Amino acid sequence: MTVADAVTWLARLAALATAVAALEMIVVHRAFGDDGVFRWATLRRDLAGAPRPLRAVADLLFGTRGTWAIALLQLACALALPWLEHPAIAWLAVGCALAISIRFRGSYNGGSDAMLLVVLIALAIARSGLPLAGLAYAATQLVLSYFIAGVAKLGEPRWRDGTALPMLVTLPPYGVPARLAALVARLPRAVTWGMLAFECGFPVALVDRTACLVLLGAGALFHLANAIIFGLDRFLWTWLAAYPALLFWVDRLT
Amino acid sequence: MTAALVAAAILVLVVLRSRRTVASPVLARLRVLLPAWRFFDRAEPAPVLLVRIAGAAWTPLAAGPRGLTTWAFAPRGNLALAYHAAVAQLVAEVDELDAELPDDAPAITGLVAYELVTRIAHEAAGGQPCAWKIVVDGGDYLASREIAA
Repeated sequence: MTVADAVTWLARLAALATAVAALEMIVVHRAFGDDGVFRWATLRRDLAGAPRPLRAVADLLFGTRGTWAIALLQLACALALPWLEHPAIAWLAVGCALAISIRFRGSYNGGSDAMLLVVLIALAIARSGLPLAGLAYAATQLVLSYFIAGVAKLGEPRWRDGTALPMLVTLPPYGVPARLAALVARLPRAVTWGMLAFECGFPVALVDRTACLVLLGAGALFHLANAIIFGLDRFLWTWLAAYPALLFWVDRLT
Repeated sequence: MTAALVAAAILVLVVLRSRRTVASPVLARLRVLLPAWRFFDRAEPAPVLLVRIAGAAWTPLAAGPRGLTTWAFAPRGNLALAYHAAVAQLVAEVDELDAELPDDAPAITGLVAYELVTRIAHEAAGGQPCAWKIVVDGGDYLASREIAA
């Protein structure tokens, strides 16, 4: 994969992930409206001790109109990213994604917000004349995301004895349908250990192209399963967006 | 190769250390810039928000709707996850306070997360008078007073 191909695919997939994030925010706009659960009048209390100019800027950006403007601008950036290569578009998309996270007390959708920011920053760096650095940043964060997630799970006894996954599918926040939860509960312990091996062993993708392709294929299936079982759709789109960066670096390193 | 292995070993040690919360609410808003990547590392029951409309039974806060396309696009599902994250955040913030504080102590009811959870409960109750409580590991953790319509 050439640098140009990698950056092009990074842009296309980052645009898709950005569009999904923006459209989802627009659909639930009532939540950030003046009477919504996440109205700015409530969230702005976090900034009570901040300097007055900072609070004034935050009030302008994160009120109902400001949040609408950010979401619409984010959608416009998503539509422009595959077609316009000017770095300003990518940096603007970074700004929108960061603003949404800041508004919602640090994150609206957990880790997917962080990976969206990673791929957009990578694209912005790549289009600012440093394509290798941008792709290296996305590839490094991608490898770290799997490796750290795997190692962190190894420290938890329930992951090691195979009871974590059946327990997680019963947690109310995810609303996993009962039949699907029962299916997951019947999975053998080897599935859990396979997942842990995939996550902890992901750095191998850096040293062998075939292993990289296998691991990225497994990763895509892993995120698709998480989207279907736990409803984590945004994780699928944002993680897929980082894959071209790793493919490029594997070609270069091996 | 040796350097990579040493780096990986250091990373493992850092990851296995317990995580810390960011005290400043302003800095906490920038945490997305330093991703932790520790997904589902704590396999433990999540706090559950229960809402009771006057005279009715306690009802758990619903998860997002499921459909044929929600694996790809789930605005209401992700909003529901944001609600549950706000409940978990309130529990984390109350855990940092004196365990002897009563549920209606100003140090608790004055939290931004407390107001968020109250607004979530109010929305779940369809704007009717209601009360809410958070259950952790099967036991009552925190309960509100009656919320007016």
